[in-house]
Amino acid sequence: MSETFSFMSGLPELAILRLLRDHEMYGYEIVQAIALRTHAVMSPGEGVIYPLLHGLEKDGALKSRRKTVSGRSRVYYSLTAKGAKRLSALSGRWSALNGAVEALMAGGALGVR
Amino acid sequence: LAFDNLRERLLLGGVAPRHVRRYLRELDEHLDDLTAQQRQGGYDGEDAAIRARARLGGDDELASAMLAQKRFRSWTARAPWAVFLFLPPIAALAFGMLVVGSVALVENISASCHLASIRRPYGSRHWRRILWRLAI
Repeated sequence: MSETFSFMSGLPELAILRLLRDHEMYGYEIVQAIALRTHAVMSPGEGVIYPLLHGLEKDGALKSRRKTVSGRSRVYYSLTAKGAKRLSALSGRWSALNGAVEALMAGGALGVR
Repeated sequence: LAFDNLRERLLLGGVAPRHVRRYLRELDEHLDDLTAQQRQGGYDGEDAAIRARARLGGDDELASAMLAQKRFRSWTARAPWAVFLFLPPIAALAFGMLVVGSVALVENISASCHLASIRRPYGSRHWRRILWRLAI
């Protein structure tokens, strides 16, 4: 892989895209789901998710609609076909990185003189 | 009121007003959900509101997240040179078109009156002179 990527950039994006692959959600719901699934390891200020969501929407990876449920009006986000492609690409990168880190942590002979 | 300081920082930072409005509206809705959650957890009144606001993030954090996305900035913030370069000629062109359109309209009305054999109170030169005075 020729592309250089920083370690944490793209991780919140990956989490959002993965959650929205299953069904549409609103911001608060997404934050709670991320905290639940990552055992609160990823827990920045909850409001910072909105610039990310708006950015992904601007890129065409997400679409949004305002919906009223139980008397509460909220903006629901869902994944687009472009977003699904982006999720697939990001998942591949993170799987490769995950494998690399595991191999690194496992240690063993380097095979380098 | 909860986001007055944040609104001001974002606008001063050059974020387009429509993006600021949308961001603050969603933050406000999120804060409502967080406050309700804190109340369910046994906190009441001011305690619930303070804890909810802390979980939402401080103004610094919330402002930085939005300001980092340069594409949400207004044109005047992203390319002030373009605004100063293109706006004056466009405004002059629009003004010129307005004057020409007004003169044409007056001429048209004047010609219609003439065709209908209605006595014109003033000639087209009179109206043209008035428009010219208004323009300068």
